[in-house]
Order: sequence, then C-alpha cells, then structure tokens
Amino acid sequence: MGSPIVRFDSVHLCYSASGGQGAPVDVLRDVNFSIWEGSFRWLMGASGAGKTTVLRLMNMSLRPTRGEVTVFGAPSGSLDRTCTPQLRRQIGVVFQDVRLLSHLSTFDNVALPLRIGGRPEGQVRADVLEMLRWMGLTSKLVSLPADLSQGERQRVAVARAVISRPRLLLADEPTDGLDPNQSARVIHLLWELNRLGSTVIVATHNRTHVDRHPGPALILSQGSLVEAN
Amino acid sequence: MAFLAALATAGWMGSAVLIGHWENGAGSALTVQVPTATDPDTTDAPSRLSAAKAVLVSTPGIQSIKILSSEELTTLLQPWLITYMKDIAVPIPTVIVIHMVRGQGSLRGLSSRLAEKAPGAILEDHDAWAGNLATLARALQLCAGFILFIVALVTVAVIVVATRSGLASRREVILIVYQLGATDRYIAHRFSRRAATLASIGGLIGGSLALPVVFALAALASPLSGRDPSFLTAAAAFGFLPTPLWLLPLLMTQSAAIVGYLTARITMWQWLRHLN
Repeated sequence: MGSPIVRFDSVHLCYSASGGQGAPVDVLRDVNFSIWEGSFRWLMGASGAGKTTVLRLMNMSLRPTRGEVTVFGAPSGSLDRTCTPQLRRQIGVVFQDVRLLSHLSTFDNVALPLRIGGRPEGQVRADVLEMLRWMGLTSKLVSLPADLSQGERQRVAVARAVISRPRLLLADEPTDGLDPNQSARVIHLLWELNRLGSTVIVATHNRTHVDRHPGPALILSQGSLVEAN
Repeated sequence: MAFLAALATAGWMGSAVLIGHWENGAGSALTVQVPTATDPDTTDAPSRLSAAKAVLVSTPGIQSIKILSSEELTTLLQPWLITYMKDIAVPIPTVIVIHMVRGQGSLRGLSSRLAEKAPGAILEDHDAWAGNLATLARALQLCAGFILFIVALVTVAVIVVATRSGLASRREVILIVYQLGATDRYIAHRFSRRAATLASIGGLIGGSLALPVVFALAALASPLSGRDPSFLTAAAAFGFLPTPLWLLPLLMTQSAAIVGYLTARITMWQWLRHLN
C-alpha cells in the first residue's frame, strides 16, 4: 500500500446560517481518516450526513474551518492559486448535480478535462469517442445537455470525470437517474479504474451497490465519522 | 467607436499633410504682381516685368523664379471665378512666383527695391497666412488626438463593462471549469480571445465605413493643398491619399483587437483574483 493520498486531520467545518446572521451550523465535526493511494472506498451516510462536503474538501473547493485536509501530500489550506489547478487536474469529479456546461455538446463536455490539460486535439477526439462508445452515447455526440435525459446526462458526467484517468476519482451519487443495467456498468467502470491504479471514493446511499461490491467504507452520520474501515 | 477613431486618425494624418504643404510649399513662396499693359495706372509693362525679374534674380536666398502663364493664372483663379472667367474685364497682373531657400535670404529691402525698379509691382509674403493656417491645422491635430484618446477611453470602458457582465453571467460555468483544473490563464485567454475577435470585427467595419468618408473629405480639402480638385480618377485617387489612410480598415482591426484583448485580459485577472 502507498502513502495516504487523502488525509483528514481533526477536520471541522461550519457554515454561518442565514447569510452570516444566524448561529454557525456544524457540517463536519472532528473528522479523521486516511485514504491510501490505489484504494477504493465507499462514502456512505443518509442525506445531509456530510458526504458531499467531504468530497468538496477533497477537491479543494472548500477549506476546513479547523483541522487540516491533505491531498497528494499538500495541505489544501496552504495552496495558492497557481498550485491548485495542477492538483485538480489529477482529480476526476462526478458532481451530485451533474454540472455539465449547457452550451457545450456531449463531445465537448467530455473533452473538456483533456483540453484543459493540453492534450493534442487528435488524441482528445480518439479518447472521447472511445469513452462515449463505451458509455453508449455515440448517437448523442452533438447533443446539448438540455436534449439529454437525466440518465444520459449522468453518464456524460461520469465520462467527463474518468476520461483523463485521474489519480483520484471522487464520485457523488454517480448512479442517480440510471437504470440498474447502466448503474452496474458505471460501478463496474469505477472498479476497473481502481484496478488500473486510480484511487476511487464513491459517495452513495444505495446499499445495493455496496452489497454487490463490498469494500472499505467511511460512514458519516450528522457530520461525524462513525465508522471507517 | 472604430468609425470615430478612424476619422480622428485620418484628421490627424490629413492635418499633418496640410501642415507640410503650407510650411514647405506656400510658406516658403512669395508672389510679385506686376501690373499689365492694360492697367491704366501703369506704362511700359514689359520693361517693368524685366526690371522686377532683374531685382529678384539679384536677391540672395531665392531658390526659383517662375512667371505664371495666362493658362496657369486662369487655373488659379477658376475655383473662385468659374462662371465669370470669360467675361472678366479687370486686367489681371502678371504673377511671378518665387521660392525662397528656407532659412536663407531676407525680404528686407526687396519691397523697396521692387518699388524703385518696377513701380506698381506688389510683393506678397504668404508666410504669415501660411503660418496661421499651419497653426490652425496643428490645433485640429490636437483635437483629433484628443478625440482619439476619448474614443480609446470609452472603448476600454465598454469592454470592461461587457467583460464583467459576461463573467457574472458565466460565474457558475467558470467555477465548474476551475474545478476541472483550469488555470486563470486558460479561462482569461478564452474570454479575451472572444473579446478580441468581436472588437476586431467592429474595427474592420468602422474602418471600412470611414474610408469613403475620408476620401470625400480629402477631395473637399484638396484645393487647400493646391491640388486640382478634378483629380477624381481612380488612378489619381490612389496617389492622393497618404498610404497609411488606405490601411485604415486594417489599422482599426488590429488596434481594436489589441485593445479588446488587453482590456478583457486585465479585467478578467482582477475578477478571477476575487473569485472565491
């Protein structure tokens, strides 16, 4: 096993309620765990437990109120603007709310991480076509997100997150809106990525997936980590 | 804005051409009018003309002397007396055009020597009014420069507002692109490139629309530079306007693109730094 790729040290996060006028709301309380490179972890808990917040801290979209989050060995709190993009390019994210760019086609949405990373356009085209073929979206190459079903949008989001073979993949409810077959394909894809070396963290409340693919899990309840294995 | 900038630029260049013409042409020229034989106040015109010519030849600092022919005089007077050229009963004096070597020679005493040797001959020094015209042209140049400055300021302000508005409406898109690992430079370049493209299109349109207006104004101003206003053939027109003016559409396109790109880029840098 390698070094921790993600580490939470006494992480505490709170938001100010009512636009800064109400009492602060604790979202995470004293969360401690390490995730080793190359591992697969389920991140589980009921809605509102803090799963999305944990993933956002890993992606450096949030900074902890107290404690430290270390990603790829770098404390996220001390990163400057020039370093953060480089680290983020090693992270693939499937957002819970999908977040496709509405003015880009399916092809361009999936190609975006590769283009940001400076991949040559010929290689981008080949990789994206292969990915979309695997995802069963070849007929939707030029479609805009508004013309896709919820399940198709979810698959495009997953394709975008994995297209660059990220070192760390964060998936927030990646099977939302998908039928059982498609869900199974997506989970299989994530495990395959893990087998090829990516560290994969999947937030889900769907116990079926966990039961079908048992593995170590972080279980959150009301902002606290109740179980880590 | 590009149209106004093109006109202001053309005004600047045109004024420079006129200043050069007046200072180096009319400003260094003199005329001597020698009454003709039909003038009731004079006698023996040919010898008076010879005497005036002799005085001029012997004066130091004179570069050239030219006696205008009747055809040349007619051409000179035509803009003002078009309709009446055939019916003029007033005797037209013989005009001698003198070009001085700049910085050399002195007019002191020339007028009195002419009065002595060729009574009735009138020496006209154009330096004064040419100097006034040149001063006026310089003032116009200053105005053109000021207009150009104002146009540039307004252009920058418009681009800043448009860029900020575009950024505000695309904030969520920018945040998503950030989370995919885009740098400030990547995002700024894409926005700035679009601003430059739009600005260059505007510059091309404005510069192209200004060209016929510039041409028309140049034609109207041509008598002031001593040119024949009936030059309006295609071949003559190409030689008339200074070359930089023909490049106005290209000049405006490039300038607008540069201003658009830099303004959008700087605006974006500032906006992205404050982006949480």
